Amino acid sequence: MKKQILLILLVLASTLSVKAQQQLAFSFGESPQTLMLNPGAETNFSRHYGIPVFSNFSLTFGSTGFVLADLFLKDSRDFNSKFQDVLRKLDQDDYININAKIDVLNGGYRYDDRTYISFGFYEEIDIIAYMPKDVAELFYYGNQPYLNRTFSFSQLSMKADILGVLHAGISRKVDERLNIGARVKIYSSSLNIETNNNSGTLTTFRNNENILRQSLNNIDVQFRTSGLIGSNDEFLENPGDLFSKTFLGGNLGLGFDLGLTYHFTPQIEFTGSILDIGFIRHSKSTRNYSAKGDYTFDGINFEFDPDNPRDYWQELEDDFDDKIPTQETQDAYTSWRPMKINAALKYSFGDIRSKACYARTHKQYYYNAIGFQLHTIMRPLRTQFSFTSFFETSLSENIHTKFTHTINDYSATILGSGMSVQIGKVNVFGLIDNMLGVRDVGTAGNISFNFGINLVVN
Amino acid sequence: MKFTAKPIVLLFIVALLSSCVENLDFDQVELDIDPIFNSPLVSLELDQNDFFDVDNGVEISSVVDITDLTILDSSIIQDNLTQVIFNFEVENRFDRSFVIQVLFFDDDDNITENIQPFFINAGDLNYTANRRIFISNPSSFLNSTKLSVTVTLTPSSNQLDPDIPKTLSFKSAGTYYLSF
Repeated sequence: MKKQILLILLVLASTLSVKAQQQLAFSFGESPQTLMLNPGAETNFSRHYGIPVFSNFSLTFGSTGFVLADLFLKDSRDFNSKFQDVLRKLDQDDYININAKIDVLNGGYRYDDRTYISFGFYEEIDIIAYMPKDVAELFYYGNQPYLNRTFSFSQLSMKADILGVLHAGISRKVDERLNIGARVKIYSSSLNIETNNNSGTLTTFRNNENILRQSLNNIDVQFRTSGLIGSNDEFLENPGDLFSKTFLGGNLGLGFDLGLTYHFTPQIEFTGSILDIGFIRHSKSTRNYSAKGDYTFDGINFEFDPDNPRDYWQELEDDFDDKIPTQETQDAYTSWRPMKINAALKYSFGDIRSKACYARTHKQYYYNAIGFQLHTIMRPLRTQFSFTSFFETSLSENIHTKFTHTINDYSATILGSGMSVQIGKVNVFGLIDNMLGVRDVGTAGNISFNFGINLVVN
Repeated sequence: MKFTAKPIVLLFIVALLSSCVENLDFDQVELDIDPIFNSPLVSLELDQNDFFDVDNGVEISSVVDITDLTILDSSIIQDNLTQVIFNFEVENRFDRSFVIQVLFFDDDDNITENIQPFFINAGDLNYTANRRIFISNPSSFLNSTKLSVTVTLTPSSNQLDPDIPKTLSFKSAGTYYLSF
């Protein structure tokens, strides 16, 4: 037992020191937090109480196109040289993704033999920013080194959210094979910044009218924000509100999660879920900016007509405003939540154990399982996929582990592991992804962790 | 047979505990952003009629035009401009020489920058020149809000004929060096 406790402490210490991936927890039984990834997950307990703030915490950082060491490695190279190398390597599909979730409250109870109800409130920060290589190079180098190059604004795409989610879900056993579930969510967004579906180019080239011509073509760029600029035009008027407004004080939205568990045979199980089918209506503290049109600039052409003196500069400004009108509005807008789809197929094998469940029932489990799972998330430019194969094994009746190999945008060699431990009524779980990356965070494209403590009553 | 995975788990834990960010140094961030931007500036095309007073039948020795140029008011330019290079191209199809003078003025019409004049020989179709301005601190150039171009015919016994088409084409562009 002492060894097991030591093992648990080691895992917890390590998961706290680095970062894991919440999706690994999908279909990883025994923890009530599985319900947050699949409202149709099977439950074997009569009640659970999340330890406030500690019941579920996950943090993910991922980047494609570069790793931290490319910029921050402790060496003799000049930082500017590293930055230029990174800028050269990036392409428009590369992105940075940061996601953090913290469960403020979480709990659940069994309504009847077939029905388990869970509820809670969590806060989430989610940022995805695609690398606008053209825009970055334009601002870093200027247009002078790139005569005739077309700089595209269509690469501008990002979304940042800070929100709170109040939720309640139900998991219901239909029969011995099928368990279904759903969760309703009320979103309260305190901050949203998004820009997507932009278009337009800037090109500077030699021309007969003047030495150079600058051409803005098909410009259609817009930024939408809420919570960023207050009514008195103050930028982030009161940063403390970013979190206080997440509990029903921000811009509200509605969403759903759906899920199921299906046993083809006692050994073959399918689990699937769709999370965050929902939207947020932003109407408070909104500020939107847009520009649209075409413009060709050859400089100012002097007419030398003393009888009709012209205000060339004013004409130029008026012409530009006329051809590329810009707008700043406080219109309401709707933002869709990034929908996620999870699916897993698991084959269980090995020794069978019997677990005491709620209402003096027993359920049989296999000690080992293998399978694969698919995780997709809808992102502004394109859907992100990750494919994970996994092996689960129980070290005892109360200690369950999971080992994974994931292929996704970041890498094809992401190894992860997780552990769920039951000590009396306390369930502790921790998952970490990209084990290889954890050894050297600087060279890892993505690292994430997920950790939680819950009280579970059978 | 019961699968024993404890050794594997321990191996992973050792790997986790040896994780580190020691090889990273986040204090080294000293990014120099020094973009260089090009932009067209002023162009003009004059013909023989611009230098001939038809009513009095005499040459006009000099013509001038002026424009506001408030782009230097921008705080980005004021705070970060380090130097400017103006590029000029002139195509002179007259059989007369010209002097072209480019001046910058502030709001009170004080000259803030006097670009060294260009002497364009008769028939010079490929005249090019550039002028560099280093931005000092304080810089009178940054107070510029107007730009004028004066084109002057140099005296000659070779008089203009308003019936014979001639053109003088002047083009310019600016290269702006910024440092953030």
